[in-house]
Amino acid sequence: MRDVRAAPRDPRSRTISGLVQLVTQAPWTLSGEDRSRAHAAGLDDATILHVIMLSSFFGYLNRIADAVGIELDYEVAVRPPAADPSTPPWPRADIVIDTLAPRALRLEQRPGAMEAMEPWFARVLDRDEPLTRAQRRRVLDVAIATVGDGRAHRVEVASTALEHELDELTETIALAPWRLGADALRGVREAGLTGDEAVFDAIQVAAFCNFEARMTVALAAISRE
Amino acid sequence: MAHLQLTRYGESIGALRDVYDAMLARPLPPVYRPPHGGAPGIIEAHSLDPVLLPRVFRFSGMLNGQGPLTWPERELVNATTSRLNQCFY
Repeated sequence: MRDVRAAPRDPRSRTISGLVQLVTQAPWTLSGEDRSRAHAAGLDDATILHVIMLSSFFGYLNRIADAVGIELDYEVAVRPPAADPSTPPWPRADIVIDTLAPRALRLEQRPGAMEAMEPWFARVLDRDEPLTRAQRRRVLDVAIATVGDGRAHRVEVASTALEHELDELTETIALAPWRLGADALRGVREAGLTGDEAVFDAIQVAAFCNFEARMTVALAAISRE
Repeated sequence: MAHLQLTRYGESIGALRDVYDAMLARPLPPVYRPPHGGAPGIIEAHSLDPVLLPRVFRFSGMLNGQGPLTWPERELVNATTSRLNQCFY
């Protein structure tokens, strides 16, 4: 979208970039030290909350853009390099963050956030089709476990080809969105997910749940003492 | 060529057209309006679920309508996230 090769020089911009990096790559590694450093650079809690929410949401848009395969529709001065599919996936969380415990930074502190989140949440999870509730639940658990969200339930080993393919697609969306080429959707289609509405539903559940968990894990992790 | 069958703004009818028109009527800096005159690709990417579409972008509006991050700082967050995810968007 913009050329960001020039690293920001002022402490406030550098701190924002540093937070974005952790939210994008490993939100569970954030801690109270990052919050203290941000405060020292002039970012108050409302600003930290804004950075975490916006970066998580843009990560969602990246995943939708890649999975659906849209084209760039703006004139840009510098065209970004093509994605390199051989880039290793983001790391998987090696700890579990308690996302249900009381904490300093919460979504409710951003005006309008809960009102905007609830109808989206309902559309993604409170449905019986095209994906069944069981499929929705499974994709959710796989998508949120990658970022160490303590709300994730243990997922049973895939018992059907479609479960296996949904797991694979969900992990690619969560951990390596740059690998979402035209072939990435073939597995779920061949395993029986028929119709583009159903395929989009699967993409949406995976991308939304990963985004919501990334944001929630980041807020819980940075609230730690 | 998208991986899914999307409905472009110019081809849309009924409920989806209404949703697109409501989206395009929102205040938006001219720099975000695509030169082809239709809906931005990221909005069309959600056209397979017209019920979902406005709910996603209501969230976007909540994050972009007001501070504390300035517009350039929001662009910094978005561009840095995209670069790390190797996404052109």
